[in-house]
Amino acid sequence: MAKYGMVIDLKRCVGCYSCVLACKAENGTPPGVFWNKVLATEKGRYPSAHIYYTPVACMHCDSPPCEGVCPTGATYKGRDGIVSIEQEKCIGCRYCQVSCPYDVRSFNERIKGYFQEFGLTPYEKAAYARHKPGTVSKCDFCSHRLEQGKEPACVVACPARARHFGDLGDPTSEVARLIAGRSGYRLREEAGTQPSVYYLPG
Amino acid sequence: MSLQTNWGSLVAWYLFLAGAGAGVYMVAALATFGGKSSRFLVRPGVFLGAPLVAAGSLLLLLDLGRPERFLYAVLRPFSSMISVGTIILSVFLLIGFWHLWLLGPGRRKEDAVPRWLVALGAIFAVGTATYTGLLLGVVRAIPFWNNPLLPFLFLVSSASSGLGIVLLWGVLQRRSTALEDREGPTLPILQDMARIDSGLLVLEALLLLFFLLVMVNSGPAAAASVGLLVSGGYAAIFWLLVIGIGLLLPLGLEIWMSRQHARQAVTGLHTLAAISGLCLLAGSLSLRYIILLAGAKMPLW
Repeated sequence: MAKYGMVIDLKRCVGCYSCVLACKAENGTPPGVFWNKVLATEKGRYPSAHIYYTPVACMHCDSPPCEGVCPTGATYKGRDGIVSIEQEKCIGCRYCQVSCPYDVRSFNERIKGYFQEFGLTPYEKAAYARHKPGTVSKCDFCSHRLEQGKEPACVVACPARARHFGDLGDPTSEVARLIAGRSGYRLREEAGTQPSVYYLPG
Repeated sequence: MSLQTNWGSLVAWYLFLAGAGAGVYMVAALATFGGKSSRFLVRPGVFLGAPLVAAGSLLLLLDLGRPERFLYAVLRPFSSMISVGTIILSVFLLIGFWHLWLLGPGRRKEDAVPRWLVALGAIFAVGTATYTGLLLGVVRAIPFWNNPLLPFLFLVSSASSGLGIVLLWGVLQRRSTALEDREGPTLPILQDMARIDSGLLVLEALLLLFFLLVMVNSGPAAAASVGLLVSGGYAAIFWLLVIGIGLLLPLGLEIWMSRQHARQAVTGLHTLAAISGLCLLAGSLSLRYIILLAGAKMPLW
């Protein structure tokens, strides 16, 4: 069984937010719900000030704090390395959101569409069936696409080819080689969560 | 620095009500075992303990995204602090309401309540009060909460707010002189409670000071949380409600009360006791509110 992971090359990321939109389009997340985000950080002072972009989504940790605090077992770590939420089991206590060091979980409020004066569009009606109000949701590495042999939507959409997806367990895979060759690191490594998303230094 | 925004005032009210309910039951149990089996000390705990915890639990239930699924929380009993807490809370409510039913109007007397029930109730009351601190204490992502002092701080503050309810109860008792005749004067007991609570308040103040001193040196996120309390957005609540009205004012009133001769200024003492009680409750709620809302996560890089 593959152990899925992602590598994000910060040297290539241009901060275009395509991955954010691709995720929204693919997963049809309601307003206010962002499974994939791009964080912009300012560094330095004028005239040598810079903005750095860091895309973040669920890190699919190997020791996920969210799984440990979930009282119902709705959040679970699959054998493929993907941390998923069983929406039918989620009671919406939000303990997982409080406990996530990366703040990448969203809570589905009562769902309102993007175009409130017109009601839900046919696309929204279809997409929101997946998003149960009162539950927590997050990135699942586009499991439905993986089943069809496709890569996650954000990986395919990235125009700068900054995202790579593959099997971390296989040392010959592209992701494993990138991590080894370009000293890939993980966010908040010291938290001991063992994320499956690696970053290549910018 | 990002603050947690997932748990808000409903959870703060829950932490407060569960703490106060457990605290006032602890007072009743201690009074039962400490020989001071005055009905005046036992009744508030029995009549208000479980109902307050129940009210708090109801708020927690309302805070859920899917309240109708709340029973799922005990399906995996020891998986999560929420599961553990649900069990502790349920057992306490069971014991507390049983105790209340035994003492209910027109029913049996205190002697009918088995001692083991009170002892078990006391254990689960301590569990309930401590648990509210543990719920936050195990969250490693928020250093300000992730601290072994927090459960103790909440436990002491719960006991103190329990005594606060007893001090308030004194005013209600005062209205019915018949009760006072039957059960003896309540003022000396109120003064004793004020004396005990002043000790608890000193302990709480030391714990709070220690907690903040440790936190200010526990990394940027915890230091930012402390900053929010002492000089940031929550400074007004912290200095005015937690320190001023919640600690210093009742401490002063209680020390003064416990030094008066009960025979003099009877009405005044009852009023002061009630004011101290209200202050203690306001302080306890504010303390939980700001600790909850000032929970900052560690920066990602």
